[in-house]
Order: sequence, then C-alpha cells, then structure tokens
Amino acid sequence: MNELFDPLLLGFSVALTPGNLFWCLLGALLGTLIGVLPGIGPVATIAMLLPITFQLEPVGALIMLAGIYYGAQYGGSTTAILVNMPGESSSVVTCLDGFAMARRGRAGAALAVAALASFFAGTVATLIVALASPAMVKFAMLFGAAEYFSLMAFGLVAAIVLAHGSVAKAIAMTVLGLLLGLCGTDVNSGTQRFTFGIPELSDGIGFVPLAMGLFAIAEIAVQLEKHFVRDAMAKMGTLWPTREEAKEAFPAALRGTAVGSVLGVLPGGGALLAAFAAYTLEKRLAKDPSRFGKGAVAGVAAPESANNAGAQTSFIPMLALGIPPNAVMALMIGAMAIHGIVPGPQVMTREPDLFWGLVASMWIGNLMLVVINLPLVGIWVRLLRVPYRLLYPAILVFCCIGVYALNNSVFEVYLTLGFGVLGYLFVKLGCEPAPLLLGFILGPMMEENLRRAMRLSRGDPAIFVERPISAVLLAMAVVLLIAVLAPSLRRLREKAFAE
Amino acid sequence: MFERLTRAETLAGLLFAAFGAAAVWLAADYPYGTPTRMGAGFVPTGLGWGLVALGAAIAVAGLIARDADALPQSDTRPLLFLLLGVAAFALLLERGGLVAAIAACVAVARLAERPYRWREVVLLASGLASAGALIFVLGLGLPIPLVPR
Repeated sequence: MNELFDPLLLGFSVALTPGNLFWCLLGALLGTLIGVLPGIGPVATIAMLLPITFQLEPVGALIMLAGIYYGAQYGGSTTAILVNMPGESSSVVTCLDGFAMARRGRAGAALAVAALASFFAGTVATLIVALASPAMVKFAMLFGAAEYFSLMAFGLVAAIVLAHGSVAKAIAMTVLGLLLGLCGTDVNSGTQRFTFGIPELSDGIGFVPLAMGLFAIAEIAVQLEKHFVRDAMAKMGTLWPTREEAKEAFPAALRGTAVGSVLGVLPGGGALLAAFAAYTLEKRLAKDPSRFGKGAVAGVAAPESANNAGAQTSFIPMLALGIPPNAVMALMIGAMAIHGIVPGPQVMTREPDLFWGLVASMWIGNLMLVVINLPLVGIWVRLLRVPYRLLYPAILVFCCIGVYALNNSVFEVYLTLGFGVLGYLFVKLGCEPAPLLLGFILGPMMEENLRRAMRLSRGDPAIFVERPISAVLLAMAVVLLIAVLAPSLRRLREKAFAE
Repeated sequence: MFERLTRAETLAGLLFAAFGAAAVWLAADYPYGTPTRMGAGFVPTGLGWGLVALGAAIAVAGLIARDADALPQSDTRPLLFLLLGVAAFALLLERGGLVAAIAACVAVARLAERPYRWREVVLLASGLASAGALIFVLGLGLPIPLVPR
C-alpha cells in the first residue's frame, strides 16, 4: 500500500503549500469563468496564460493550467443547465436533460447533481491517475521508436474516428496537420522546410498562434455571425436533489466515471467524446429511454461525471509517455518545455515533486470546484448577463497579448491572423479542426520515430509488425479504421453524433 | 455545374488538394534520401501526395453526389473587423506601445458587432488597456513597451 500512499503524501505536501494552493484556486476560478462564458474554451485560455507561467515555479504553473482544464468542465455545465447554452463543447450533452430539468423548476438540483457527479468522478479519476501512471511508466520502458510511432498512429486514427462529420475530411485534416507540424528546421539534416525564407519560421509554426487562430478567432467570428438569442434564464429552485433523483444519479455517475476514465486516456478522446458516450450508454440501459431529453437525472449525472473523469485521465499518457492525447495536454507539454522539463517516463522518477504534486492538486482542485460552483453559482449567473459585444473585444485583446508575449514576436500575431482565416474557412467547409491540431502536435514526433525505426531496421518496414506491441497497436488502428468505414457501423456512428 | 462546384464538399477537397500539391512542390527541393536514411523531403513528399489523393477523392465525391450541402450563407463582416483589429494590434504594438495597440484593436474589432456606441467603446478600450498594462507589464514584468519609445 505504501507504494501508493507515500508518493500521494509527498504530493499533498507539495500541493498544500500556500503558493500552490493559490495557483490551484486561481486555475479553478479561471477555468470556471471560461467554462461559463461561451465562445472561449480551455485551449485558447491556456494558450493565453502561458506567458504568465514563465514567472512561476513549474509545479505551480502546471497546477494552475490543470485547474483551468477541469474547471472548464464544471463551469460549462452551469450555462448548459441554466440557459441551454453549452459554455464548453463537452457540455453540449448536458443541455439536453439539464435544461429540461431546469424548465421543470429543478435547476438547482440539476446543478447539484452535475457538481457532485463531477466531484465523485474527479476523485476516482485522480486515484486512477495515481495508480495507472506508474504502471504506464513501466510499460513505456519497453517502448522503442517503432512502438512510439505505432502508438501515435493509433492515436491519430482514434482522433479521426471520433471527429464529427465525414471521415475522409477528418483524415485530410490530420494529414494537413502532420504537414504543418513539419514546418521549420529538420532536426536531422538542418534543412529548412516550408519556411519561405522567413527566419521566424525556422523553429516551426508556433502551437499557440495555430490554436488561437483556429479556435479563438474563428470561433468569435462564427459566434458574432449567429447573433444568437439567449433563452430566458431558468429559476434556480432548491439545490438539494430529492431522494429519487439521488438514487437515479448515483449509478449513472458510477458508469459515467468508468466510461470517461477509459476514453480520456485514448488519444483524441478526452472530455467531449466521454460525455457523448456516457449519455448514449445511459439511454441504452434505461428502462424508459423516452424520458431522456425531458429532464432525466441520469442524463445529467452521466455525461458530467464522464467529461470530468476524461479530463483527468487524459493526463496519464501525457505524464507517463510524453505523448499528448489532446490539444490541452500539448499545451501542458509546452508549459513544461518552457521550464526545461522534457515530458516522458523519466519525469516521475526525476521530478517526483512535480508529478505527485500535480496529481494531488487535482483532487484539491476538484474539492474547490464544488465550493466554487454550488454556493457561488449566483455570481457566475450574473456574468452571463454581460453582453457579448463587451466580452469578445476583451477575449481578442488578451489573445493578442498572449501570442505576442510568448516569443515577443509580432510575426506570431500575424500568423494567428492567418490561421484565423483558415479556421473560419474550415468551419464553413464543415471540417473539424481538432484532428488537424493533433496531427500538428504529433507530426514531428512521428517523423522522428519513423526515421529512427527505419534506420534500426535498415530500411525494412517489417519492423513495425515484427515487434509485438507495435503490431498490436497498428492492428488496433487498422481495425478501428475499417470499422468506421464499414457501412453498418458508419450509420451507428452518425446516429450517435446525431443524438 | 456551378452549383456543384461551390458545394462545401467540393471546395474542401480542392483546398486539401491545393495544400498537398504545394507540399509536394516545395518538398521537391529537399533531399529525399532512402528508406534507411530518410532525407528532409521523404515524409513531406509522401504526406503531400496523400493529401492530393484525399483532396481529389473528396472533391470528386462532392461533384458527383446527387444532393450535398451547399456552402452555408456567410456574413464575413464580423471576421473582417476581427482580423483588422488583430492587424491594428500587431502594427501598433512595437511602434506605438501596448496602450495604443489595445485601444486600436478594441476600436476596430468592436465594429464587428452592432450597436456601436462611442462612449461604450471608449470606456471598454481604456478599461482593457489599463488592465492589460497592469497585469502583463507591471504585474508580470513582460518586456512590452507601454508607450512609444
């Protein structure tokens, strides 16, 4: 038992120092704030705040950034329930039954169920991270270049399968992302690739300008175009769920936590998919599926626990393997790199303070979030009344400062502008940007491992199927790709996204 | 025919194919190498051809489909002013300082949404300029010029 508790104690001793508690609280508060506000997600916020983390200790920086990520999952549910508008994409599902509950005067109960289910899921998922990461690290020791390549290939396929809309477009977006990732100086030969002689591009395209352009600027433009009208805000009612509601919510939260924990680890998965999958599962299992969409408590508890569990467990591949399963984790790796920490299996042994401090802070942050979200919900609701015409210039200005401050480079601000145009085009053409971003992150790592594996095998590609772990990973990727292209499963996937 | 060309599907395919072709064309200048010793051009060329093929397939599928989604109606005015706002920020930052850059960015980007009330915009711009200066320059000590040097 000591193998689990000693490191966790060390973690708590790090996370409970006043400074780190403050960063945790600040992260949770900021996360809730952006979760409540529509039109800005965790990717853009974390990217915006990266310059702030220059000044912090690495532990404090990561604790704050992690708080923003799972805080956004809590905050997103508040707007979903009260005004039928997802503050965060992963809260889309919560709108269905959460707002229906609010209409029946049970808004308070829905908020309480969402917050408590999230807290339960956060607690379990923190334990899973603490237990699974050391095992994953041991597993990672068996990994060579071929295995890393195959794992990332599997991750890309998973991201393609999980993207909305046409599979062909998702594959194309991934390939485009891989190509964009290769921009800059080739590490092996020093050749400048796709730099057009621009010195600022010799280090590659920055992740922050790309993410800001595709997510923040394009998103604001689309929001402004919609001129959306908000639904009238529901009355809060009592915060306490009835006994029946609690009875229905608990098993749903259990299942949601399980689904979310598993899907969070998958590359390209994370919170959104977890919420969808958990909701669909509840609907299948329910005695009376027609209640879903009309205010079923399980329809709030399951997706909310799943998205929070998924947000937490997506730290496992990042911490143990150094491979980011989604864009937020890629930014976390960026934050670590600023402090000279190379993510990978060695972090846990070389920087136990950082690793276990971060894990312990996740649980503390989840506890803080229950307080931030339940008694203080009135404050967040008032924020929703701030008109968007005052909000979006603020978001835009902070994006600009964030991009510039990262490298003190005006060029990167222009780059953001360019990716804003591209992101807007992608929205109009029905291409989801998430696979592009994952391809962009994994591109250079995949090329490097591909080259290394091929050098080891003297140019024989059989190395990828001769090594057992690599072969299994590739087989899984192929099966997944065939499954999604097969007509019967394709219909099922379309149905799942339509729900 | 024109209706088929302007479908979202067709245009997306053409966009991808164009990116792929550009990658292949640019990567032709980089050493290709062998499978054992891959040069800088090996992977980009392969990916580029892949993107050309995918893009072509998507475009053809869009062209021959009996009914497909047309390009959604767009009002590009908001996007235009947002981009101009960012450009104003970038242009002014190192010449005019952070305060001027933020004020210009807000004044321009705010045109993306009506109603445009002068007093409100001035208040918003000065509020954001002071917040930005306080947090990033005075608080965090980032080396950004506040006013023209």
